Amino acid sequence: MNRPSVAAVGTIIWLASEVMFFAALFAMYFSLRGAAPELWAEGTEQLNVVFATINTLILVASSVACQFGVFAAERLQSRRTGWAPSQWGLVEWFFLSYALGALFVAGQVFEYATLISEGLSISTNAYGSIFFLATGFHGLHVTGGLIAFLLIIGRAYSAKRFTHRHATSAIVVSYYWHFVDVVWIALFFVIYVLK
Amino acid sequence: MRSNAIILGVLGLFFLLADATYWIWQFAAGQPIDWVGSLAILMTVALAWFPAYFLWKADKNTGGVLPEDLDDADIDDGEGNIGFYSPWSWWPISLAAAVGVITLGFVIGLWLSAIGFVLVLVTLVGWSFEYNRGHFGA
Repeated sequence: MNRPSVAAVGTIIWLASEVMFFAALFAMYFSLRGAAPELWAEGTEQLNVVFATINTLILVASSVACQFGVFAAERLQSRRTGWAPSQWGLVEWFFLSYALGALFVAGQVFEYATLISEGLSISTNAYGSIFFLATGFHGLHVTGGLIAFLLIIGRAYSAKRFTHRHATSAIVVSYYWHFVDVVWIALFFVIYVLK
Repeated sequence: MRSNAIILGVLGLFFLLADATYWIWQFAAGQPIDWVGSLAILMTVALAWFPAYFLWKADKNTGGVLPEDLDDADIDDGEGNIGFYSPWSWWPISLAAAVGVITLGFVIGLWLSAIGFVLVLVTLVGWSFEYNRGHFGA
């Protein structure tokens, strides 16, 4: 019989607890918003929704690339056999996913810099605090995921033979990456769409 | 594993009903909608259904009934390889110490956190490559 790997089960349980971590951030957002609606009317004006939408699409694309990496890992193919994306292995897809994720973080840094130059920082008011806390904690999660990508790529390179053990760690990182992506979509909806 | 999935599924359903009750209660009391509580309880549904769904799918993929879901199974039916566990390793405690240095830096001075950050990178790579290099790797 085929038991799920303990690493996969452990990751899912941990991600379930991460749901509650972000639930706390959402709860903070809504309670502050309920207490000071005038700060929201003023604060959300400063957001660049078009920029954030493009950044969101970049992160979603990164998740798609990550999933193709998982498909490659499931066929136990760590390297490419040709230049066409259909011949890519885990390493190439994860590099693409890493690049897109890094682009997202860079975009967020640019957005932060713009907001701070316009006078909205973490210490400006309650809106600034929760905006930077929520997106910042998410950004830290993305950064952690980027480090995880590098470790998986490194493992794939150092493997004498790419086995199911290597594939499992790649799959587990993809669970995390998709989770962080979904959390961002929820954050994007709450912060930029709902305003 | 089937039982675990069902228990978590029932839990999620309970939280969903609790959330609905919470909503109806607010309307009945003529109060404004409490987004904080409503959302927090809704996310608890995700907390329960997330692992429930995963375990359900994993159970389907086992290609049989696991001994823990059988009433007449014996203890030794569940034997076999659980996974790979390092018999001993210095990396986990080193990583913990490195994280400790970062935290200590928040109290003493951020320069210490910077040193801790480098130590975290070293121990993290050390841990994840312990069984992926030398004899185990290329």
